[in-house]
Amino acid sequence: MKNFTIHTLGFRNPVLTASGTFGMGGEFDGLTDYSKLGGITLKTVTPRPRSGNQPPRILETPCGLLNSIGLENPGMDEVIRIIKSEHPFRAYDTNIVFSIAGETADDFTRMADAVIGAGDIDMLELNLSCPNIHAGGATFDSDCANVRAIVSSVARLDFPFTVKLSPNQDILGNSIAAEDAGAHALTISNTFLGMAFDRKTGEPYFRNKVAGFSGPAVKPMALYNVYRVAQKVKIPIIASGGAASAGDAIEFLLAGASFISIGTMNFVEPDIAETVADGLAEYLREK
Amino acid sequence: MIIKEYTEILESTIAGTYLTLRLNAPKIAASALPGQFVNIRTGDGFDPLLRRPFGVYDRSGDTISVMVLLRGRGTRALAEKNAGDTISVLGPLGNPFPAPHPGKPPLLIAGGVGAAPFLYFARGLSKPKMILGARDRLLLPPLESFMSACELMISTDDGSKGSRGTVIDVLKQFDLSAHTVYACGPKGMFAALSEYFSAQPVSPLAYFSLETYMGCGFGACKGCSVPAPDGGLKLCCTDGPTFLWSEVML
Ligand SMILES: Cc1cc2nc3c(=O)[nH]c(=O)nc-3n(C[C@H](O)[C@H](O)[C@H](O)COP(=O)(O)OP(=O)(O)OC[C@H]3O[C@@H](n4cnc5c(N)ncnc54)[C@H](O)[C@@H]3O)c2cc1C
Ligand SMILES: Cc1cc2nc3c(=O)[nH]c(=O)nc-3n(C[C@H](O)[C@H](O)[C@H](O)COP(=O)(O)O)c2cc1C
Ligand code: FES
Repeated sequence: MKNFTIHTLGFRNPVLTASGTFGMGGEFDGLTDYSKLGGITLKTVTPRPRSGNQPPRILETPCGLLNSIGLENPGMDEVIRIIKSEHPFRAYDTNIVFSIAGETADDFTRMADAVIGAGDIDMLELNLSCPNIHAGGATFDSDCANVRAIVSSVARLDFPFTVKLSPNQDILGNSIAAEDAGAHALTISNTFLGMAFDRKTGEPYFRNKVAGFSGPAVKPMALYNVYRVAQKVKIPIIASGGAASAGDAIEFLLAGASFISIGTMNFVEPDIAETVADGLAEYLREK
Repeated sequence: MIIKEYTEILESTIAGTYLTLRLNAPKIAASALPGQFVNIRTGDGFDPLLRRPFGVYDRSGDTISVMVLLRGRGTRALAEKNAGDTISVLGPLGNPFPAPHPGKPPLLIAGGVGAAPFLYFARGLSKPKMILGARDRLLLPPLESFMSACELMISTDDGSKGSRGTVIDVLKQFDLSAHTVYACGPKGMFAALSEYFSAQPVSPLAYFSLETYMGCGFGACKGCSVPAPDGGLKLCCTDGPTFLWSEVML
């Protein structure tokens, strides 16, 4: 069987859940067997609490989902307090990937340091790619120099981390910059920017106008991005975008990914990651 | 505990724009309480992608029923299923209806398909009064089961069945302070009720059971939020779907 490793961290299999689609972990208690998963990624945490965007927040499209959640989360201090006092993550027999998004570039290292200090976390994910918070969808990875600076600063902590990038920016340039700056892995990718209009009012359906697009509909585009990044970098790629079956996971491996994360489909089939891991294990055994 | 269960359709009945499905769901039926809902996958493919939420309409032994207003693609896909087909059901989800306050008998107010969660609730109460409204006779849900479980008062906007007017016109005969009120219906009905409740000398003890667009139904997506008067947000699936009327802004 293959060895699934990011930096110093081993994974029992290459199937993870994606940030923002698996809550803070506990939401899937009883619905899936965590010990069958390579890891779970928690909802992105920001330095300060965020109540998120006003509804509507989601809209289904053919085979896809638009979301404008707005990084709703209780904020770093509260999450750290819970980790230290209640140790919720110890109950989950799998790797815990903690996703962070700063407000400034310096926040990332400060937050990473605090989370590592709190314990019970196996890996960090730097969400440099949240597309739907700032007006116009500006993200940290809209500037390659930003990516380089944030990554090299976090890399000094010598704790396993992945850098999650947006497909709406120069994902190839950012991937190369991140690897160069010391990233241990890349998550390719976050949601695609999308829109919908309310035909009755003539207005954009979402208050922020633009939303993040995910689900099976985006898989071909995600495959393409994984493929072209894999041609240029050597660090492991965690594929994210539209995976809904073991067959999809195999395609992502063929495109050059080392890990597959499952997002939107967790809402539809809460045990989908487990099903994909089982199917993939069979495929990898046969190989 | 939330369970994903593959359930056999035992009976599928269509009356007008309403579909009733009776499902063999022993695990979910064992713990589903009135006011809770289930999230149903309408097909095996990815379009429609998300599950569709429906209140538990009835429960008996190993079976649960849902009453579905045929609205869009997902509900139409359900209507095409036959007895003997299997569908995936996730539940029970959300919180049950709070019990009526002692000394304040329940008064149920439903707009159209909003009646659905009240049948199972009414079966555990002693023939509660239910005001059921719709725009016209054709938009009323099938009435037989409600007639046996509730004391039914019907109103239609055009007077084609029951009294002419809205549920508020019927509600005016009641002393709200003497009841625990439960309402479920379209947005417009909640807005009208909020306005009516606000004008009462004493804020009534009233609950709204809401419908929102849902991504998951169990707290994972944060997609179902409802604005609260304090500027905050509530999740319809895990904080609700039933709220005190003054807790949510509609
Ligand atoms: C907790 C809860 C309990 C519910 N209980 C019942 C029930 O017992 N019986 C019943 O018939 N319906 C119920 N609903 C509403 C039901 O989920 C929607 O009617 C259904 O999802 C529509 O699916 P569709 O694919 O047919 O429509 P779509 O093609 O998705 O949409 C058709 C139309 O319905 C509207 N719509 C879509 N989703 C919802 C929604 N979730 N709520 C309200 N409007 C929506 C859309 O805006 C559109 O105008 C409930 C909803 C919730 C949240
Ligand atoms: C409702 C929702 C919320 C999300 N929240 C986050 C988030 O907080 N942080 C993040 O990095 N990605 C977030 N994502 C993106 C997913 O992690 C994932 O990268 C993306 O949805 C593509 O994968 P999928 O097609 O399998 O869903 C979110 C996606 C959805 C659908
Ligand atoms: S529907 Fe997903 S959190 Fe409520």
